[in-house]
Amino acid sequence: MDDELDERTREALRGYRVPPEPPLDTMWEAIEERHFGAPVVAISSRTPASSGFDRVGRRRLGRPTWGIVLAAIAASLLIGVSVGRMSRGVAPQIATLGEGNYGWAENAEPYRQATTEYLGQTAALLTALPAAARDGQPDARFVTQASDLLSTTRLLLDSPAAATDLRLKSLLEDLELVLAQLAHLPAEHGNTEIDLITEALERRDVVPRLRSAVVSISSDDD
Amino acid sequence: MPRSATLREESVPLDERTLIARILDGDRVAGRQLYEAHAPRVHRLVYRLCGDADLAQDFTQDTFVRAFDQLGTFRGESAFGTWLHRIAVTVTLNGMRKVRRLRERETSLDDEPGLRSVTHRADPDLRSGIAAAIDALPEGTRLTLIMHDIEGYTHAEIAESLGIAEGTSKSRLFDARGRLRQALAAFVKE
Repeated sequence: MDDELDERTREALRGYRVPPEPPLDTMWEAIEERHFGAPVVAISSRTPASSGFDRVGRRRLGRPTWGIVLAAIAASLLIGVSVGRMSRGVAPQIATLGEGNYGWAENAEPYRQATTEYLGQTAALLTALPAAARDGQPDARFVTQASDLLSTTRLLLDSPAAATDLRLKSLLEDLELVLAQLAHLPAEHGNTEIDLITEALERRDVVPRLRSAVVSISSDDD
Repeated sequence: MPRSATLREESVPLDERTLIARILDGDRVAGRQLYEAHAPRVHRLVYRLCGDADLAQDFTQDTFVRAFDQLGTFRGESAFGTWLHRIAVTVTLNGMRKVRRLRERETSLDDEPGLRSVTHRADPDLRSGIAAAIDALPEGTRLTLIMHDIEGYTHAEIAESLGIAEGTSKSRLFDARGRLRQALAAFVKE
């Protein structure tokens, strides 16, 4: 190849099938559902022209967004609170005050399940925070997740579970503080805000306590 | 040609082994992180191979679903990115064959334009001429040219991704360039 052709060829090669901007969020929704599964399935309405099937004929199911998952948790908490109060007339004995495992009464199953799920998701979010910060994030999606989890935290704080278990209450209060900071993170945030949140997490030993609570509550099946 | 990988893709936010372990435990956030680190480059390659936005989206999704499903078998002997790109190439080529078969069944398509028809075609547009010439290359040769000269992969990466020897990658590239040179000779003379 002579030089002229090389240069022209190179230029033309660069123009061969120039990829569009990848639809990262849309693709992730499908991947997340197909690999991780969807606790709650919603009918997708992403594209007006969508027939509900992809190019090779597979059914496209709705996406399992954090919002939907959290809405389900919040709903189960509300149902749990209502059922508990109606059936007992007073707040049920949800957990013991002991130093060992979180003890859950028999009628507290909805709380236990919802709390385990919520704590697991919060742990995942907070664990990803330092990496997200290093990568120039947290982005809007991260903030939205924090905001959704904050709503659930407040529901749990108002539930009998927190009223009777001081250890859980203390953890939830710390989480409320951290999630509130994350949820109100300005779009143009600097490193200082993230550093303060990370510092608070470390100082209060939040993530290890969170993990320990997940293990303890989820193993409390009896 | 400079490597086309972006800084974001090259700086993995967390140790990949940690992320992989978390994904195996069902951690969606870790899954998203690993996906974000690799998806743009995978999508770019897949699009260059299939040339269709919808198919590129499907094939990229299939690549990650398959990778996540088979993550337990990833031994870490090669870089995760190389392993992933190997899956992407396989998924894309198989997917394109399936699509081609479906389309052939639907309509009796004209014969695909071969290299000979490109060289004799009086196409004044170099870009469309080169596109037609690339499309007419044998699959392995085309793949190597796209990966090396367009997407900036090294011969070592191509060899690992395609399961071929580095020497084969080099000779395929030599062949591809020769065919392109031949196809584009008409444009130089003009």
